[in-house]
Amino acid sequence: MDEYQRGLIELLPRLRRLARAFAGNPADADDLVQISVERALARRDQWRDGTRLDSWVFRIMKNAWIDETRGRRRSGRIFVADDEGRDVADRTTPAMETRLAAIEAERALLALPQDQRLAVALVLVDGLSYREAADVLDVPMGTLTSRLVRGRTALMEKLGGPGATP
Amino acid sequence: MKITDTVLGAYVDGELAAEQAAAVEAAARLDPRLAEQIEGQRRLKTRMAGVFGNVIDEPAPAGLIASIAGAAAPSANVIDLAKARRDRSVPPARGRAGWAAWGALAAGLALVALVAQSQFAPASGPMIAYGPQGLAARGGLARALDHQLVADQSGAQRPVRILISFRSADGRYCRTFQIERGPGLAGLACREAEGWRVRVTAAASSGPTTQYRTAASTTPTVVLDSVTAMIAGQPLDAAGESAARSKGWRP
Repeated sequence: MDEYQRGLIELLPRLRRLARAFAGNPADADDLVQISVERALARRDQWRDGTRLDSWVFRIMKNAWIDETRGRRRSGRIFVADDEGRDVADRTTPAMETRLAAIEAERALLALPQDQRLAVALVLVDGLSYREAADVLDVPMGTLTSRLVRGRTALMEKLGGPGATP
Repeated sequence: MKITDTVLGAYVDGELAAEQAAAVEAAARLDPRLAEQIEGQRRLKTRMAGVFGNVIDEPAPAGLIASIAGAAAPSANVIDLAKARRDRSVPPARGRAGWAAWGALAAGLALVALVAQSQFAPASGPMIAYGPQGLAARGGLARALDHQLVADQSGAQRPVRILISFRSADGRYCRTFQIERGPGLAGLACREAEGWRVRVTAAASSGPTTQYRTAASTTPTVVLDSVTAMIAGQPLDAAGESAARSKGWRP
């Protein structure tokens, strides 16, 4: 294994989380991760050594997801199934209360229109800088920040309020 | 400086230059409403950073790791026994092999349950017995699962406490319990046609449960993880439990 492969493996947890934020349900997210990894391996000669691997692979994932949604989901909104409670719940969050709060936040994120959801996923969930996120999404900084503002406003309406759980 | 939503967001995201950030802070000192907005945005950011945190924590699928590692020259594919064992021990993807994993888990824990049975047998008959359908709740445990509601268990010390009631994704009613006598045993049982089937058991967390401790804080992780894996929607509230009991916990 070389640096590129090691880097990809290290990136898997973040890739899988981002895929959930993009795709919503675990099965679609798994497919998205699989496709992104395959493409990242196939295009490794296009990666410029010394540049950030995460932004590069995230961008591949974003493009894969856009291709996917263009094919079958014109609205840009993802389908959140009735059993989403079970799907987003997954395992391992130790406290029930924390888990339920997390489900609420996940649902609010998944309910955002695609543009806003991707921006929020990259900046608020993954923690990329505005510059990196704008690069991943191939949009100018101004576009990114306005999507973020709209996404945040919608999230605050759903989750905010003075008594909101931190 | 006018603090727009964009500036506010950029401030919270650490994207402002030092002097702009200082200007936001100065404005917030004079304007409690702005200070509150900043606090709200900070809370939102913290909360969103935890979204899908379970995905970050769980091991990536072994197959995916192998496909990346295997993309190298074939000579790199030396069999690594330790790695192969690790890969095999990675839990299967949830929702696909879920019930198979359940069986394995239940079988592994059956021993614990049988020990529990022998411990409790002298006092009041076995609470768990191994039958043709697997582990079945008996005696005091079966009675508690049938009748006790989470909401009204305060007061007298009971031999069994019920901590969480919920519906599983496949439509069964399931409840987590804690046997308070002896060394303590926690577990999860689901209602089948023939009675309560015990799906998971684990040694109870130390110390008795009291009404001041939440279900989540007293339930052993293995049991809570099972709830998380099986639950459809949210745990039953008092009304939901009461309705389920009146139907005999049948779907």
